Amino acid sequence: MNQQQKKEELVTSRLQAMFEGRGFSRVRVNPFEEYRLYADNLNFLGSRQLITFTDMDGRLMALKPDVTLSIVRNMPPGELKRFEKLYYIDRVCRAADGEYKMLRQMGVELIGPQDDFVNLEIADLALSCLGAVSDDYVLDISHLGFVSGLLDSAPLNIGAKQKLMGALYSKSPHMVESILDEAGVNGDMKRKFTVLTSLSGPILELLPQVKTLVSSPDMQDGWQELDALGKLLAASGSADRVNLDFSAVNDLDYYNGMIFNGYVKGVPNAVLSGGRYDLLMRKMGKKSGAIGFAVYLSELNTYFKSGRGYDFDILLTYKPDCDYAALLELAKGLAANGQSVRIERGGTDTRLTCQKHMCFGESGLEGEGKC
Amino acid sequence: MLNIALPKGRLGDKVYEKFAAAGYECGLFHEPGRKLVMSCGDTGVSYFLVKPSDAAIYVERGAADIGVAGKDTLLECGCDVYELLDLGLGVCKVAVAGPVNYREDRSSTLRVATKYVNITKRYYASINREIEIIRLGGSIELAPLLGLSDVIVDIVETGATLKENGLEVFEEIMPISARLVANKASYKFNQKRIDALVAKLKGEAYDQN
Repeated sequence: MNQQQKKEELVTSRLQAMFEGRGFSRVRVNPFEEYRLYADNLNFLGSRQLITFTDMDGRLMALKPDVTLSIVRNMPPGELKRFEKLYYIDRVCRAADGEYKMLRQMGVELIGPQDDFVNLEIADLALSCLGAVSDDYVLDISHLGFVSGLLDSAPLNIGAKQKLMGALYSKSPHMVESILDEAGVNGDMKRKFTVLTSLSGPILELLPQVKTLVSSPDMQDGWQELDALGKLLAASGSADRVNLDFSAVNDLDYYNGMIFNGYVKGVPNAVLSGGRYDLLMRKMGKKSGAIGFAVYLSELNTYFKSGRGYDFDILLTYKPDCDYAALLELAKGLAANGQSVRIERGGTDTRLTCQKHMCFGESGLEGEGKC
Repeated sequence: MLNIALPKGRLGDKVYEKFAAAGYECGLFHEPGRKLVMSCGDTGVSYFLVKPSDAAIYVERGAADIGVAGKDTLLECGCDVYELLDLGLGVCKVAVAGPVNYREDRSSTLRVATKYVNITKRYYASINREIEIIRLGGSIELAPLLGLSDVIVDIVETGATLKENGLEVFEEIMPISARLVANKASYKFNQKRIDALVAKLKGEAYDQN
């Protein structure tokens, strides 16, 4: 791979090859959609800030803050008989740190019949994506059916449930205790919430402990799904990179089953996130199930700096009386050998750094040395 | 090595003592003219002192693996970090205060001076009260005295400063204390060390295995 490629480009090409290799087809969606698509699903987006404008025909439009909604919107309403396996490379417009940014994302969506194999395939693909970014990575998995099962089995109002989700997200047992004390929830239920908040570790190690928290059919279903996934990941040899961690939460109105976040060493935020969003499908009138994830490519360039320490392999400076055709031929020959070559007029202060400096004059190559 | 962001000042000193008592002592901390970054290889931690309101940002952005920040600054910055432990230090509250004998006119917009803009917005939105926020950086108590605002939203520890200035607490918005926070990605790759530190700070035994 060409060393000059930035991390984002390198990962993009690797992931694209991976998605194609796994039989996913590329999908392209419009850069903007009708505003109402997003207005109806603001909690799914996690933000109310959109850039809107009026289209030529008077419709209120918005720059796309998300790709999944556009893909789901275009799915047929009935139950799909076969999988729709799609991937995208796109830019989304989102508010971040007080300003709008165009962020590059890649992602996959697997829509259609859903079973344990689908969970395995998506989890494995997510792991492969993280592996394409870094050698040091981990995938956190949670299950929203399990979490909402526990929430529903406690006598809590909506406000308290939302606060508990926040405490789970922040991994704060002291916040959980305070919320439950205020709600008058004690004993075994309080213990379960506190344990769930602090749990984090290898999926195979923690599954038995998670089983002891089961106290409703929804939680049992969630545990069985996680257990099946853990066993399948173990059988495929990738369970050691997968943690159970219930601080991975998302909106319960849209997501329902397994959800996950991926981390690589050196990047302070999740670089990948996704999960099962059957409820979004229902909300948009679709009968099929769906699961997918996005990789945040823009994060990668911010935190993976080029370790090269110079601008180009070769700085090739020329004198005005040289043979320009021969100069170009020399540069092309060097580039064909995989080296990056920058041609500059001699005598100018280029402020460029390089590994090797070559000087081209009337008699051809007149000298070379270290930069 | 765990990088720990501590708040400068009195709270930072108290927090450090707690860390030291838990086994994370660093001789460099009490040296005169101490450095900005104090690495203590023997305990596996490196401390650095930052402005209290910046500690959570250092952690969120991964410059520090863990840190200590007041709940007020966490709520204000909305930093996306794990809040692992309430250290029980720097205990105070965020409160609405104003001049003694102040009578609120509910028919007009309430002018609120504060440096906690987000907390203030959220609080008044929750009680559906129309307000005008006056953002100040310090000496908040002055605002109602000079007619700049009707009330203030600020942290109150003992209430002595308010009393000295002829102000009193009208409403307590929330209790505040110092919290141990962790960067989410750092936690994934240093979980055992961070969990051990949390357990020791809580005075609990921790099994590294």
